Amino acid sequence: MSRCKLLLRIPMTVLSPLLTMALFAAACNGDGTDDTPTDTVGQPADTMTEDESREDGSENGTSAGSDDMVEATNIEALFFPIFRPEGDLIAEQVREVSGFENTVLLGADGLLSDDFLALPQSEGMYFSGPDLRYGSNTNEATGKTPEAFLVNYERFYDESPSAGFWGHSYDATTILLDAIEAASTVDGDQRLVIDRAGVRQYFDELRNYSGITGSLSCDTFGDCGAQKIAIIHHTDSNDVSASKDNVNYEFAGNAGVRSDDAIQSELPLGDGSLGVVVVVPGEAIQIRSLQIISGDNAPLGLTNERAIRMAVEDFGEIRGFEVEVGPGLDDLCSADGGQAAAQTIVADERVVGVIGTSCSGAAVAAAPLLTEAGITMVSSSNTSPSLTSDLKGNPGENYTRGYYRTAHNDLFQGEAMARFVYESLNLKTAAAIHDGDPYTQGLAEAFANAYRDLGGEIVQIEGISKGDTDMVPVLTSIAAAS
Amino acid sequence: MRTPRTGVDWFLTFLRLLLLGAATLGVLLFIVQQVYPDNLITRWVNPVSANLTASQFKGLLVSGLTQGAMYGLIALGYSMVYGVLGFINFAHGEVFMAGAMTGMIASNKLDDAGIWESNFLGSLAFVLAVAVATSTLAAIAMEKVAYRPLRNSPRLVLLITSVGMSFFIQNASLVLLGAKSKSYPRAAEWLNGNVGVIDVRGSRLLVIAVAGLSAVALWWLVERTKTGMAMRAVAEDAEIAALMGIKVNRTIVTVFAVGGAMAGVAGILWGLMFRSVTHSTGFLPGIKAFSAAVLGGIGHLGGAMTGGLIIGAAESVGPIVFFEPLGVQGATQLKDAVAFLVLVGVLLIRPSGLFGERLPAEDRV
Repeated sequence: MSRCKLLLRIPMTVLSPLLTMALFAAACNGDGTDDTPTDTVGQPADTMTEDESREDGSENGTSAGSDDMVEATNIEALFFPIFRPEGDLIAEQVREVSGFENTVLLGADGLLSDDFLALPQSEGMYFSGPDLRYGSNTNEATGKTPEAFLVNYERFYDESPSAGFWGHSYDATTILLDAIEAASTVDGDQRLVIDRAGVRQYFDELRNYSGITGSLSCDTFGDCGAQKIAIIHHTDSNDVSASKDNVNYEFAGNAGVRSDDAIQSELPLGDGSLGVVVVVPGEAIQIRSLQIISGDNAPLGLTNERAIRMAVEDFGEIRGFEVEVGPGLDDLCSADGGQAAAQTIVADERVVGVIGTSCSGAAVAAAPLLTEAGITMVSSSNTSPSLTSDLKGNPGENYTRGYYRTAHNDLFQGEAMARFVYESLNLKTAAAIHDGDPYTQGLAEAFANAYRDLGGEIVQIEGISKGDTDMVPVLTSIAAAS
Repeated sequence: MRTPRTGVDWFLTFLRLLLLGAATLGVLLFIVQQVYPDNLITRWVNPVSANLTASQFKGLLVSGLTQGAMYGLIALGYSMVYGVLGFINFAHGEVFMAGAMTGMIASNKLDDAGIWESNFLGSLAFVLAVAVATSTLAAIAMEKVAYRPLRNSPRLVLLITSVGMSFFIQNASLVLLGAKSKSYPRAAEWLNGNVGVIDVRGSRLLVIAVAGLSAVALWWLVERTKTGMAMRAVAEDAEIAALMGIKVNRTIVTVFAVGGAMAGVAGILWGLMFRSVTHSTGFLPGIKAFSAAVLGGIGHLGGAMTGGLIIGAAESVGPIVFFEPLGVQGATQLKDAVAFLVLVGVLLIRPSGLFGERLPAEDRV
């Protein structure tokens, strides 16, 4: 019965190395760690927040494992700019992996929603995201201030916005409507003729547009955002709004290559090269909202969609024609979802512009389809550098002409986080985790590059897969690499 | 009855050698790297590769075994149904999800009432009971509604029906409870801290202990009680069993019920461990558990549990032990691939699984 022997051999080949491994690893316990200083707790504390984070860390850290305290390795910061629910699981499981007992946890705007902040394991984390302190900025098209917007929002929806890109969505919509106005004429039959190329020309020439999010100017590759980043410290999961106001660090980037001179083109804009959309009297100008409105990241997209509808209402009619958003489309936060929704949109030839997508991963698939059809796409929360440019004059690999955004470019968010960690928290080694999505990967890499440029050490950038539940392997791999 | 070797046999032998060779090489390189971290091969192949400490390795193994214990519990249901009815119940992963979902609802209600914290063990027992009841009822209802009317149809029909059931339950949960992931309340502090000399997180020990107890209870039921004897008799030959006075329908319902109960236990353990549930929670664990059942030899209960543990441990430890020393970048992203590679590897060498029996040709589907 040679099969029986083979049968025995399988568990042996799988299991015996594991046991041997455990013995070996026990025997050479010191190899990996003894040569590194174990004193990660004794960082010079130059800010208040650092002291707090240390305390948080040791509270969450294990107390029973006195042996492990000696082994504490030197990953001082872990940046995981991913989504829920994988973010929940990393925050939950990180403390049980030896080497992460005192690590400061960092997240980004993808996790910065009320739902995530309400989880106990998110306490003590720092989050980067758009700077929401808009002060008395005023949207030049509607005259609305952030305060007036928030009052309206709460009146309509009985809650305050649960994610951070409402201002960007509002500005994106009013700019698009201004663009349509600038690119349209009323002809002899009282029909509205909108030049598709003119809409894009308006964006290309946009300089110092006063919006809720600040002063917006578009660069050559569609980055129009005010590029203001803030980093908040989250201390209490029972008081989410206090954490959102607890800004520890702010950063302002300069948009990419463009001339800052105001351009004065004659109205109406456009050379007709992309065709025209004709709206007959009694019908409405068609724009669409394409956001993530189902699933774990729905708070992001729903907030955006509501802001879009409010902007359309505030803006009013364009040359006597109403604007219709139609039912909100869902980008599912995935390439598949973005593609399917984009196909629905391009099937309707009346659509002039789209505000979306929410997620960069969806935009990668949706942007080529929409822009090819002559539609102008304006995103209020895509942040992946690959969708626009590297800010040095080179287009990103997923850039298509006709794509614009009012959100920041993640090169800035990555740099902001890197500077904050390196300079303010004074942490010199970090690791990053992404989930393969263009947004998460781009941000993790932007952070890593900026951090290395500052002189910090990136231990490892690791990837997980969407849907993973057990984060111990990936965390162990990072801990072991340090 | 030896048949002459054909080209296919040679190809299979080649594949076996290749797989074993790659696995052995990876393990050897890993050992070398642990003993002499600064050797030539490591520097050449993968300069940033892992050098694990004992406690990190232990953490990996324990996390794999916890995950594996859950796979094993789910796999028991696949295996039992296959043993008795001879088809794969693909909706079994959804039975597990139903348990995890009801557990989530019950535990959150208890948490709102303040009982979850004040009497953790009591509420855990209650939540466990609710989840087991739901999963059991779901499995029984599924058998009554979907499978019994098709009992005499070809097995392929049952298989397709089970895929349909799976979609139905998943989407029903999506409609009823929404697409957001829901959280369990935080378990008691002593479960979150590391316990004892072995220094492993308490909830992981609890998972392994509960899984072990459930498996032992199931073994006792199947091997030592009359009901179990009836199950084994029906599995052997349903017609003859009926002639001997065994109520076949009732026995089959019991099989579904017991399998569902095991999935319910797994659901609660999942909730305690990972704390988040969605309508699609059952999908991937279901597939992994199915792989575990096949790996262990489908129809064999001990095999299902062992298969679960092997798959769980392999996907946790495997990427770092097999792939990282071979210079694969981002090895931990390949954990699902490792799980299925282990399955393929075992089936290449032993087509009927670790403990499975070779079926005579006429019994194969």
